[in-house]
Amino acid sequence: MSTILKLEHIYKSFPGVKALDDMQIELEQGEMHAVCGENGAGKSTLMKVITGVYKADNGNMYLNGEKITVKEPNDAYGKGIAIIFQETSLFKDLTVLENMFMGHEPVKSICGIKNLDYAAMYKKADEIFEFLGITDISYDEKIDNLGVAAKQMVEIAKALTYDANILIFDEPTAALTNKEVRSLFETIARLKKQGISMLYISHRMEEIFEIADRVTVIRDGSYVRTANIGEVTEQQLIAWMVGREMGDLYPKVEVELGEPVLKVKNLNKPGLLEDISFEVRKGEILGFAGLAGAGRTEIAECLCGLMKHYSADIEFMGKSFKAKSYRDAIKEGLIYVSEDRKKYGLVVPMSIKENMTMSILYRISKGSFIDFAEEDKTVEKYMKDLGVKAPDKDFVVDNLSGGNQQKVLVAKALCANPSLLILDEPTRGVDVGAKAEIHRIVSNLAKEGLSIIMISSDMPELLGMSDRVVVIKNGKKTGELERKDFSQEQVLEMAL
Amino acid sequence: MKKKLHISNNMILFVILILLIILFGVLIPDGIFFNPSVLIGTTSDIAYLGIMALPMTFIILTAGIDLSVGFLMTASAMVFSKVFTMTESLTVGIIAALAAGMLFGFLNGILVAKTKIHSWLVSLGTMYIFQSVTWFIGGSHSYAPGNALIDFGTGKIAGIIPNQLIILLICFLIFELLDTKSTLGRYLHAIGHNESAVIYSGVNAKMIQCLIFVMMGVMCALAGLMFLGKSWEVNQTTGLNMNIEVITLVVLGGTSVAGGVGSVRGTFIATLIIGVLKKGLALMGMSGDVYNFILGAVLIVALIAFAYLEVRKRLASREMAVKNMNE
Amino acid sequence: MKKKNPIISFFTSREGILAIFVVLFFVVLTATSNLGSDMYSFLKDISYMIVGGLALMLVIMLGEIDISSGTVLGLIGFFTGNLLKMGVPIPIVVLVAMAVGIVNSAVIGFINVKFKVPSMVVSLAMVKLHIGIFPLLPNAGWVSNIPKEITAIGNTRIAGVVPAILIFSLIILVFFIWFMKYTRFGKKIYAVGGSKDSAKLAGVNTNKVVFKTFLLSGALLGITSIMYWLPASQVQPSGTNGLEMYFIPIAVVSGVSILGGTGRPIGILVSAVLIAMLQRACILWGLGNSWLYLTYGVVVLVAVYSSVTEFSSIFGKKAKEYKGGAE
Repeated sequence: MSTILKLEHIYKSFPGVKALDDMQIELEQGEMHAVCGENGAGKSTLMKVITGVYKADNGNMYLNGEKITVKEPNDAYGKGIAIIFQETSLFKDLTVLENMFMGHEPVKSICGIKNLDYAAMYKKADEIFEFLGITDISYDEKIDNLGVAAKQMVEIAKALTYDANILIFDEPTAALTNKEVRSLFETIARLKKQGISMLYISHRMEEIFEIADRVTVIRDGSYVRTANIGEVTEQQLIAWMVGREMGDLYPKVEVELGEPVLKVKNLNKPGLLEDISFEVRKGEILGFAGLAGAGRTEIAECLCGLMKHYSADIEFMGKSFKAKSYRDAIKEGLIYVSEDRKKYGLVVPMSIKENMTMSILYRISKGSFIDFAEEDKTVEKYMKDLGVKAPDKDFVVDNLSGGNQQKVLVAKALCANPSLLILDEPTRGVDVGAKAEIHRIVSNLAKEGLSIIMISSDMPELLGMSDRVVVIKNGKKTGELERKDFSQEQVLEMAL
Repeated sequence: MKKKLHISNNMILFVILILLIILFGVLIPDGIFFNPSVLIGTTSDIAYLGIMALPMTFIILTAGIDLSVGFLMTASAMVFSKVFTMTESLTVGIIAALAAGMLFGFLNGILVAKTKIHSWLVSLGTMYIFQSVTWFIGGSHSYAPGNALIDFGTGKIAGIIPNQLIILLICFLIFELLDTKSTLGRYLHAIGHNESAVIYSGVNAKMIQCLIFVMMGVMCALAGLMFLGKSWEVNQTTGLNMNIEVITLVVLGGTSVAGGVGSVRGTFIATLIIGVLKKGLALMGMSGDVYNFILGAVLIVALIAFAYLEVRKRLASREMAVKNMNE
Repeated sequence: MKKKNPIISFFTSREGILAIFVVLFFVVLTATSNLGSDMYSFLKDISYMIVGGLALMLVIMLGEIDISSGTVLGLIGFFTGNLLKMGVPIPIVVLVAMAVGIVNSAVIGFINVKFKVPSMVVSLAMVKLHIGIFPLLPNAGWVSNIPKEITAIGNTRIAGVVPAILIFSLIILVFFIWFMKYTRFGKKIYAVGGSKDSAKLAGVNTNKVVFKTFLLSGALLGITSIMYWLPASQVQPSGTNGLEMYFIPIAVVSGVSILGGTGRPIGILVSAVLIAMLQRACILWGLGNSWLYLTYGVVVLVAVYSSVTEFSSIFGKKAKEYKGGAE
């Protein structure tokens, strides 16, 4: 076997985040190479660097031993590298055929004018569909009318129209049913038989062990190690991904738990959530485990009135409660801190002060005019309490590091004097030092009697911080574990 | 840092204003332009535009736009005329006009808030509808001096400060307070930058968007009355392309069409500038077409200049973020 | 491999349903008015509306707009009218018209691509430039006394009622049907309009596509201008102000989504006939401008609303879950 693709010393930064830090990877001819790491470890960024979507700040890339540069996606396609994106990159108003050949349609000249050669397209599409064993997708169907699995098949077919010999899968099974996963794996086996080399990004252990030949583990944007799949165990892989033993990062303070603050019974939302019941006690940190898209965020949004049309019996602070709008929930002391900091959390071009008081302006204003003295007092208190590192309170949030942005976001929630705080992925895109700091803050809040629901995909964090964990899978509650019974294996088993 | 840049934008505008006044003062013979009544007249003549530009600033701050303002203004002024002719009561006429403006504005607001259609398209559609209102009411509505509205519209306090200017100043102060001191102002800037984050702060952003269109409607009606009081007449073509003039005032004032960035103060200074420009050109004997051409050019230059500054600012802030991270 | 029956799929598509409606409307209109006797000028109007509609379709498909598409026709007409009077051959005049149109659209496209300023605001500024440029040009004003022979060429009839220019505009339509289906550039327009991010991933240079599409649209506006003015004995530049009021509805009614990415040239033919008929109906039925503007306003709003909303969701079931108003 020979090395077909090799990357070394790859660096890539985004404002406030080091996404890749001396990354490397080696792909051999015809192998199925899994890349795994926690959320935010830099897997997707690495793939986008390989395919020219992002330009690396620094680093070398070799194809068949020759040094190459990939400036834009077209370069990668030209060199036979294609990617099947996590979030589908297809045009929903165009047909399957148009999508497959977008940007590189075969042409033939008629009277000196270049015409798209539909006959050639159909012919090539026939070959590819036959190779992939697709029979149930019409070429003239609009992408919008296809299901998730069918769209993914079109993505694969599209990649093959570039005559790719290196294919990259970015968490392809995230939104597929078990049956669809089986059929995807069959397709992958066919591709492998044809000698196509593949990179496969996933954090689903059992998939990696089933289909991969080798595995590379990355963590916090850095390379950890590569191993043959037969020579490692699941525990070893998890240890490499996490990079630390459970517990050493998480200053969990034992808290005497009080009365239940929130009781949720039979939370139902058609198509998303089914019969979810749980309760949170005073001073408790309740962890929500599950895969991305399992419905954890949706539970939080229903409770806060950000999502409508659901049914449930909710008791909050001893009385029946149903938020009509998020403002209702804030007034009652139920605060949600979104997982997507830059989209739903903060208005990044505005100042720390303006962001922190965004949800409590109604309370620190006289009539409809802001009480600036009161505002300054509030903001300064929380900046000091949480240790936000910034020159002053008028500093623009966009210029803060990820960790400090997250602290501003938590401070924004605390300003509203919550009785129950829902933290959705509180340490995503935050470096290790800031992570520990945020964990300490969360622990202290619980100690002071605040109830917290923590949604996290970072397993050690979840198990390290929580008093109890509820596991959600496909919109259903599949288990609940007390702290003394915690084990990663058990949680994973319930979540997968 | 952002604050510093704001002040400097307005300062540049202020310098341009002074330079323009000096320029016209020199170019126009006998120093007519430096005559206080002429100088004051520059602003009061386009006070009705300035009045519409104030709420327009709010709308553009939220990354929206309202193209229907010209005909909204005309339609409300015509409602006044119709009701006034029927009832011969100034009060009833004014209330009817303001109510009509509010209703028209609400139509815009509710469509913007309740459908996914961007406000420029909504207001393009309603622009035709308001235009049709002017045709339904029909005809040209003119008044002779002696009428209370005209007397007020052309009147001056102490024989020097026009009533129109006073109204503009009062409205400016109200909007300036709303922009810088109120929760509404804070929310408007935030919505322009990131509407989702505002919604996730428990703020009814859609209602705010509806509200500012209603404000726009009421202010347009007020502007319509001022226009009638000044020009003695409205007809079906009065509102044509007036939206461009109003938008120019806002954009020249430094409000970004991408939303979030801008100030009512800037719009006010821009109003002074355009007022001077219009009057100066007229006194130099230039036709309205020249004014149109220069206005279009000013709008384009302002768009480019502020877009360029915005890109520079973003680059600088990005560098700062990287530096901040490496520390 | 499955293929759909083209006839069935046409009549179940938006264009097909519109076409059926148009035919019914036509029958009613001819039965209740004397449209039949005025068929020639009706078809003449349709000719330029098709080409203008195509010009707007191209930019709207990219999620952009050109509000100056009406006033620019007057400006082009001013140049071409003078050239025709000087005896310049028609083919060269057509090229000049296209060139002026291209330059105009290039300005909008360039500022849009380079400075990321919405084309809506830029084209608004262009409106003022078009109106205001005349005093700066020699021989400004109406161009009259265009030689009768030339006007006669513009009014060439085939079979007594069919204007020759309609044939030209149908040729252009067929060209675009081919262009959108059989060229890579056509496909790229769909791609960029559908999703700029996805288009970049597919290796499409989105800025280049947007700019080139504006150029194409400008060339079409040049041809539209020729079709509008060639049959006329004099060019009154302000006569085309407001024609965008036809072109934008034609484009959105045809099924071009204002969110970009959809639209077929064949739809332009159907909706151009529809809009022309609405205009005639308001005149022939004696409804006047009030109903005309009201109709256009409502048509724009309904057409846009239907293009941004899933068809099924109009009847109750929402396609997309409300998520705090955020996408």
